[in-house]
Amino acid sequence: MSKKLFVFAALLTLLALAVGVTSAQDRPLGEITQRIVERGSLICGVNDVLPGFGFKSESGEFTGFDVDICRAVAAAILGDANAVTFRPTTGADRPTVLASGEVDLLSRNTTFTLSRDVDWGATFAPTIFFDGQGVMVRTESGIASLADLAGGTICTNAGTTTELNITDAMQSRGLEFTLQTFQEFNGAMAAFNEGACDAVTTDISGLLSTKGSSADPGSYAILDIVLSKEPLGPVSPQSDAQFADIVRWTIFGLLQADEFGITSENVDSFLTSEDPSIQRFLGVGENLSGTYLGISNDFMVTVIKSVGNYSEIYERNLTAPFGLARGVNALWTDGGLMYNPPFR
Amino acid sequence: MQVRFSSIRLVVKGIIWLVNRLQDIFPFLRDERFIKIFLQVAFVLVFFTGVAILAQSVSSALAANNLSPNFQFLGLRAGFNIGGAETYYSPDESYWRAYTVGLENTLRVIVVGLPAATLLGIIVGIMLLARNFLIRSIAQFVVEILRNTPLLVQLFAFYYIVVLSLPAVKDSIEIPAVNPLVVLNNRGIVLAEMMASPRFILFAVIATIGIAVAGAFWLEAGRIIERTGRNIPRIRSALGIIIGVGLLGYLVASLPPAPTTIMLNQDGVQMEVAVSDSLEQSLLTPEQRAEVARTPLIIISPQKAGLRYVNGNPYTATYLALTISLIVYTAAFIAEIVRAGIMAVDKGQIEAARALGLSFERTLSLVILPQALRVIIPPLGNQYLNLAKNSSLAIAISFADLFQVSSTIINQSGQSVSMFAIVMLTYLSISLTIAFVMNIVNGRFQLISRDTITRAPWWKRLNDGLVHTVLRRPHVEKIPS
Repeated sequence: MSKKLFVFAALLTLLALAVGVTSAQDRPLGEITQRIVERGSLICGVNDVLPGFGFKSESGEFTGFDVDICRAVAAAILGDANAVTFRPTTGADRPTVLASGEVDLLSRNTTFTLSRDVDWGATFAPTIFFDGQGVMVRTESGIASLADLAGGTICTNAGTTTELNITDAMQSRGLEFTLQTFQEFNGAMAAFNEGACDAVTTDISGLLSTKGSSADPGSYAILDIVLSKEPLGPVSPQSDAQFADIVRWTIFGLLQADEFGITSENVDSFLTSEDPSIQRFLGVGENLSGTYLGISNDFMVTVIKSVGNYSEIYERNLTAPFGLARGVNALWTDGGLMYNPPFR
Repeated sequence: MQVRFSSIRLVVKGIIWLVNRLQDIFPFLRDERFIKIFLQVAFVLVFFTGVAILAQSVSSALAANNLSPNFQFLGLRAGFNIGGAETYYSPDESYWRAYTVGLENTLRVIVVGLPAATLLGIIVGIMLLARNFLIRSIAQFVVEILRNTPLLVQLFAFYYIVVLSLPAVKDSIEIPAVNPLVVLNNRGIVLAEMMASPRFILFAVIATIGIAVAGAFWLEAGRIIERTGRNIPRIRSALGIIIGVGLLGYLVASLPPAPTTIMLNQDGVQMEVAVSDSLEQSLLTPEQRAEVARTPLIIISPQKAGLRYVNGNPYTATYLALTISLIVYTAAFIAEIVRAGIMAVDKGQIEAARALGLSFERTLSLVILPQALRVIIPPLGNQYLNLAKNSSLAIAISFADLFQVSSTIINQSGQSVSMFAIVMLTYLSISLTIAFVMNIVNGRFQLISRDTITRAPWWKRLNDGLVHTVLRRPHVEKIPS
């Protein structure tokens, strides 16, 4: 009786497992993933002039936050973080290169907005960097807040909402100021460097890159204030949901690794972890992870080994060179906005 | 090649044959009157079809993006600050108000730029004709450089290299060092402000009397000059009367003693303070200083407050950079026009004037300039139009002119069609106004013959007639009896 029951239960379990495994393994590769696998490399549209996010060095090497996301996706699909062909794109041509299939993935400090989500026929991956309009001053001026800028001159570049955001911020604090609007941010920086402006304002990523590439980054200080919402993330074509899932869960994986404290250095020690949620995450043993996505079950191990977790990527690209603190980009466990759904 | 050539020739021959046959069938096709009308109708049809296609494609493109051009958005809140207009414009005002602020800024450039460019152009133009080798060469050198480099490049160089390298606000140049009249830094110039005290009324009354007397003298002197031909220096005399009476009025108004104490609100307590003490401690607002002043006018110096200067009249660096660049650039062209105009006056005219014993100044003002102006004014009008239109380069150095503010409005509201229509209409109105005024001036200086009056259109005849009878009253010097 009990033996019969045991056999029945065992069979049932096996069946369930088999169904689960086959359904996951049989998940057909989407057209883009298929293309990437056949080609053996991922074509990634990136910025090449924004240090910290996407930058091409004189030796032709690409570095930056967005660039590392490309590498992570390549590691997830192909098991090799270097199997990426970078394609520099401009702000204006990015919807076209994405729609035409010239790139598989667009990872170019792109703000997630309603109109882009619809008009570009794109799927936005989770936000990897919460950017926003920031304010930069000269360190020697001693200005530490917007209130210190009362009566001063703030320079900016003409944008869709740049002038509006700074005006709102100053007005809501009851502060008078002079706004000088340049067509190009370079013009604003020239005036700022000569002391004709007390502060410049544009997206924090732009401020960072200007600061980082200047002769003396220490002479600039970015105020601890964010004037607008600019969530930046990679974009993939809407046509391939499977590829979009891979991108999405690779990014979630970077955050999950950060939360678990799994780094590129110590990832091997976690392979023997007793914690079931870590086992599920890394795809150890019988646990399903990458298989659900149609890729290598332990894809996160490869990804973490090649590019590190979210903190490591942030530290390498933004904190070490530019001294940028995590701010809102900290994990939710540290009071930030970075949060991922569970791996199960 | 040979084949292509002969085949083209065949086609042309074929067309000619076809037209000839058609003309045989319909003889009116040979009628020159028909051809003229036909070509005009065809041109009008093609033109309006083109316009209709353009309009259609614009409106369908707009409809595709859910945009409909309208002008209601002009009433919406602008929401952005405009540099240099902080004291009279707030972001809470409408797009329309923001546009008018931009227009005012453009007009400020044009109104200052036109006379200044003319004056500088005349001076440099005369320098180009100087006998002195050094003066002439320097003038030629500068004019050639200015005329042969793009204005945009000059503007960039002037603002980004010259203006921005002036000291920053905290190291501003203050002239003189105490109670400055002029403050200069790379954000602009602040000039001290004149403020009227209550005594100004007395001064104004006396000065007005002086001006009235001077005016009466001017008119009477004019009559005497016309009647007798005597040479009375009426300009100098009239100015002398105005200045003399004005000074007298200033002294008279300054005679009554000034109050020695003033009521001040200090920490919520009203107390009487000696004027000398309060002035020393700079306790008084400009209005209070006017209250206790001894003179009809007082000078309020710019004063540094935090990151900026308060009091005084500020002129932003971008405004000055744009205006000066436009003045200098346009003056170079005007100088060439003036030089050409003066050279166009027959040398014999000058020799004749000299022979009559006219002094250099009188030769210049009575013989050379009136004739040179006839040549100078038409191209001068062109330069005025150029200056007005070139003011839209303000956008390159972030001066908030009409075009720059309108670009921001377009950026914010998305109403590009409506806003560009407004911008173009505005520049068109400015240009047409300048052209209209220059036409009147031109009419005033051209030789008037029976021809010019009878052949001109009615409005021009009216204009010239007016000029002829009212403005151009001939100075018929009567022979003293």
